[in-house]
Amino acid sequence: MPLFGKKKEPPRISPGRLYRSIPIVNPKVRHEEDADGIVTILIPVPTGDPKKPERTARIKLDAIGSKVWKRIDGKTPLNEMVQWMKQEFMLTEREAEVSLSMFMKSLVDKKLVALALPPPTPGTPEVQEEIERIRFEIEELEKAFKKKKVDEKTFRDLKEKYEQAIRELEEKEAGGKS
Amino acid sequence: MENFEKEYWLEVELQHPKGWVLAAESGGMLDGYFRIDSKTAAKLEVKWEKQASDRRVKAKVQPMVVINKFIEDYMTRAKRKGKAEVYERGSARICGHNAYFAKWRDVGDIVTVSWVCEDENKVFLLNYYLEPGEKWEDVASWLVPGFICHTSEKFWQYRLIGVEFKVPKGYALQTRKLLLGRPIVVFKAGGKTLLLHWSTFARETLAKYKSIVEWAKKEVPKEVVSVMKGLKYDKLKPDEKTGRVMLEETERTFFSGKTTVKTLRIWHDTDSNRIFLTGYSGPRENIIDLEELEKSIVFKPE
Repeated sequence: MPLFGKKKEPPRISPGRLYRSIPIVNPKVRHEEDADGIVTILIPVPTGDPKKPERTARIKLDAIGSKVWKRIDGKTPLNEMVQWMKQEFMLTEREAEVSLSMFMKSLVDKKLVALALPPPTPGTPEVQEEIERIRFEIEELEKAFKKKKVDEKTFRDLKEKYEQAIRELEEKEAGGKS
Repeated sequence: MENFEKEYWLEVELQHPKGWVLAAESGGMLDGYFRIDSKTAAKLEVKWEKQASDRRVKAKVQPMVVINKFIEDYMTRAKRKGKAEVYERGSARICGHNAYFAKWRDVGDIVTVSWVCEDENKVFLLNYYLEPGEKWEDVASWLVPGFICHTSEKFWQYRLIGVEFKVPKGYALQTRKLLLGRPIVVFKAGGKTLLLHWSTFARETLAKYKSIVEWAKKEVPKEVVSVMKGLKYDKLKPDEKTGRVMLEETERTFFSGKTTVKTLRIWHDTDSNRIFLTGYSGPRENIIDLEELEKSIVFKPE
């Protein structure tokens, strides 16, 4: 028996919706580019030292990663980036999808990039998926509130926002079906 | 037919809707298996088995018996209680052979088809997993006419991650590593070996290594080294005539006096942005097999 309970996984997002999501670079992150177009990502890291509260961590990308990083403009969804990768690197759809999703996963895991999900398509399982996702967010928020990581006002405001979003989704679905 | 694409794998040619992919495969010498999946589910499986060529031991295979045995084994493997519900049986013609099918039910509806290809001496079994609302009659209209189990050509065509190539008949797929972006396939026929490997992002990778020779020193996969044992990779040299980087070693057998050759060729195909590597080992007179393979390589992304 494990000593600690396994952390609950967030609900899965359908691949179709994920491919319509838009990658957005963390606003705290910057990058610099050398003469060959190679990108170095600059990440501010708190030091805890009041004299020098921040240092900069650097991640140097390779030629392929650099080209992809420069395409992240906060407007282009992943499926359009896949089409661009097919053309740019002469890849099949699957090769482009897998390469891009692996690269994006590493960026998301490092909190350098976030994926903005599109609204769910009405009348599809994406709506239920979104409701599950928001419920998961509420659970996480409640945990954070219990651990006093968020104050009561923020907790109540956010919870109300989430619940309102669920109500709207459910009403829209019910309206669409009737 | 613009919504369909061809699949060539393990001595079989078929067509399926665009976007479906080869998801699992095995065998290649005496039997073969592969599965094709849509974006959301397993859709079709193809299995074949070579029959004994000796007429004295060769029993007449009954496709319907093959189907019944498959369904029975499936139910046992899936730990289902009772018999499967087979609700329709029928026949069809596939690639000039009499085929039989059974429609049956497990979690969903499955159509199992079997036939004997006398030309290649193989017994075939095909499973198609129907989705709710999908009709076998509609599926059969594109699947059955596009299925080729034997050809009069001197080669078998293959298609792997957008690259098509032809392998002379007699060679069978022995080893493979179907890694996206860096696959390796090795075919054997008696004492002859044919090898094909490629690597995507060639332009970007070569910008780092500056030359194919330098690339080869670091990036030739260990599977290639293992198949082409004994080659001295530091002797790789550009060939001015072909523009390829080549390595060749010959050996004369003591008893027969025949010359065997072991060769590796590497080139950058700018059109497909891939570095291709081919290899051959075997008698000198059959090196044409390698040349035929090289000539046939073409990148067709869709």
